[in-house]
Amino acid sequence: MKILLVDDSKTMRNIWKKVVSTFEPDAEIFEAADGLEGLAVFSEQQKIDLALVDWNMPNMNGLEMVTKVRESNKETILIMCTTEAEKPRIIEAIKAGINNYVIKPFTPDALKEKIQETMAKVK
Amino acid sequence: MPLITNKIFWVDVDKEKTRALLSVHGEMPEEAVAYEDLFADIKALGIILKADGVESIKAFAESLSKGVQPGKVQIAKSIDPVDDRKGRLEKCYQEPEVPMREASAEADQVEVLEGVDTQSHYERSDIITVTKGDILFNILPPEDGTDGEDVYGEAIARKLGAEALFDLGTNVAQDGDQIVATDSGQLIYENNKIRISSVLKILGDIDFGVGNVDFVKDVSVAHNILDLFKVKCGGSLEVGGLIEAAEIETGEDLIVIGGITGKEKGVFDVGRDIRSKYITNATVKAKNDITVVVEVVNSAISCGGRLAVGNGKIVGGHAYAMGGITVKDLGSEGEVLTRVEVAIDDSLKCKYDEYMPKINLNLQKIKKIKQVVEPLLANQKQLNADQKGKATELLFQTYELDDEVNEMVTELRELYNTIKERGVEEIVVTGTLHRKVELCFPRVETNNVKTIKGPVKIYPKKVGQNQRVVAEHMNTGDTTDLGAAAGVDEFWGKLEKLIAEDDA
Repeated sequence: MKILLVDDSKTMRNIWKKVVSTFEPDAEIFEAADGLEGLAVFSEQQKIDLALVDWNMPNMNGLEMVTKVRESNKETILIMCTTEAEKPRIIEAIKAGINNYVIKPFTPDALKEKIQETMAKVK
Repeated sequence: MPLITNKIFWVDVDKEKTRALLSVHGEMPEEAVAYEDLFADIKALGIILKADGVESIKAFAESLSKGVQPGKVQIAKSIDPVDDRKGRLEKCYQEPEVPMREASAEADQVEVLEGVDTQSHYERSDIITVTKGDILFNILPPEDGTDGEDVYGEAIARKLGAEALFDLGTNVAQDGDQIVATDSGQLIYENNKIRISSVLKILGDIDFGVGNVDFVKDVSVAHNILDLFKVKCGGSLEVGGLIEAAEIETGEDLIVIGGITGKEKGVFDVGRDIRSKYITNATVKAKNDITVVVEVVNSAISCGGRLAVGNGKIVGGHAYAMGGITVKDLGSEGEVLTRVEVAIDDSLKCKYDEYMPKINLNLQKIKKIKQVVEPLLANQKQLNADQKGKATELLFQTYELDDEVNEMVTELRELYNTIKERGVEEIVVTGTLHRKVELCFPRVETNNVKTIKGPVKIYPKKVGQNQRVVAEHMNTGDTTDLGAAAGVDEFWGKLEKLIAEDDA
C-alpha cells in the first residue's frame, strides 16, 4: 500500500506516520511539505492508495492540490486533516473531491478510526 | 645406440631417445665434408633437428673444414613431458588464526602495545568449527599436463593425474563437486579422512595450548579449565577436573566433576542445569536447577530452578533460587553473613528499579500535558489554526508516553507472573540453620538469630495482617517464628498496586 502524507509540519507528518504504521505496518510512505510536492509524488508514483492532506500550506494549499489530483485521479482515498471546521469550508473540500475529513485537534485513535472507516467505505 | 651416417660420422642416441650426439667415427676424413651433406645424412636418420641442433652441426662442419677434429656435439634433445596435476581438495572453511607471538608465563590476558598488532594468547585456538550446510571443500579435478617428444619427434607419454583422494566420515556428504557439512560441529581432517564431530573433546586442560573455545555443540574437557580462559558452547559442557576463574557460557548443562573455584573472577552463565562438586567464589547463573555435592561458599548464585546442596552447606555470599533451596547446613558456626532468597528473580527487582522512575516521569508528563490540553479541547472554537495543530501534537505525545508506560508495565507483569507461577517459597535445611543467615521471601525476610537443628522447612506465613518467616520441624511439626524485617514487602506491594492499576 502506498500512502502520501502532505503537511508543512514535520511533526504532524510524524504523527500521521506513527498512526498509519499501527494498522498498515508494511505501507510505503511518501511525504510532501506542500501541495506542489504532493502533486509531484502523484505524478512520480503510478498509484497512491491513500493521501492525508493538510489544508493550510505554503505554495499550494491542500484544497488546490485535491482539486488538481481529482482532475485525473478518482481512485486515491483523500482525507483532509484540517483546522477548518466551518461547514461551508468542509462542503467546499468535499466538492473538490475529498473522501473524508478530520478536524484538528484530534487524538491518534480518532484519526485511525477515520482512516479505517473511510477505507472500508470506499472498498 | 650409435648410428652410422656415411661411416665417417657417428650419431649416438641414448636408449630413452632423449639425446642425439654427433661425433667423428675414427680418423678425421681426408676429404672436405659439406655441411649440407652432413645435415641431409642426419635428417635421413629421422632425427628432428631444431635451431640449436642445426647450429651445432654447422659448427661441427666448420671445425672439420679447418682440419680440427671436433668433439661430440649435441644435435637434438627430447622435450620432457609435464605430468597431470592430481585432483585435490580446496579448503573453503576458515582456518584458525596463527598466534602472532609466543605465549610466555608472564603474559597478561591481552597485550596492548601501541602501534603493534597484538593478539590475546587466550584467543589462540586450533579448533575448526563448522555449521550445518557449510561448504567445506571444493573437489578440484586433475589438471592436464603435456606429453613430451623424443629426438625422433615421437610422443613421450605424461603421467595421468589421479582424482582427489578423500574419505567421507560422519556428518559430511559430497554434493556434486563440493563436500558439505550435514551437521554442525568440529571439523576433523586427517589423512584424507573428513568428518565432523558433534562433541569437541579436549583431552587435557583448556590452557594456552588450546585457547578459548567457542563451539556450537557439546564440549568435553578431560582435565581443567584454567584461569581467565573462556568457553562458550551451544550444548553442554562436561569438565573432568576443575574450573578455575574462567568465563563459561553454555546453551545447555554444565557438569563439573571436580568443582568450580572462581577466585572471585569466574563467571558462569548456563542455559539449563549445573551439577558440580563445589562452587567457591564464583558468580553463577543457571536457567534451571543447580545441584552441588559439597558446598557453595562465598558465591553469587542465581538459579531459575531449585538450588540443591543436599549433603553440604551454603556459606557466605548470596543465592537466589526461584524453585526453593534444599541444603544440609545453611550458614556457619562462625556466623558468616549468608543471604538466601527464594521465589525471587533478581531481574524483576532490577527491572523494577530501572522502570519505576521512567514510569513515574511519564505519568507526570502525561498529567501536565492533560492540564494544558483539556481546557483547549473544551474551547475548540476559540482556537486558531496553530493552537489546534499544537493541541493535536500534545495529544499525540500523551499517547506515546502512555504506550511507553504500558510496555514497561507489561514487561514487569510478565516477570511477576512467571515468579508467581514458578516460585517455590521454601527453604529446606536438613542439618543446621545457623545464625546470621538472611532468609528472604517475596514479601518477607528475616535475619536469623537462632541456631536451629533440622530437618526444618522455612517458609513465609501470614500471622494476622503480617507476614512472618517460620521454621517448621519436619519430624515434629513444631514451628519456630524466625521474625520479619520491617518494610520488606514494600516493593511487592508497590509492584502489585502498579499492575492492578494498569489492569483497571
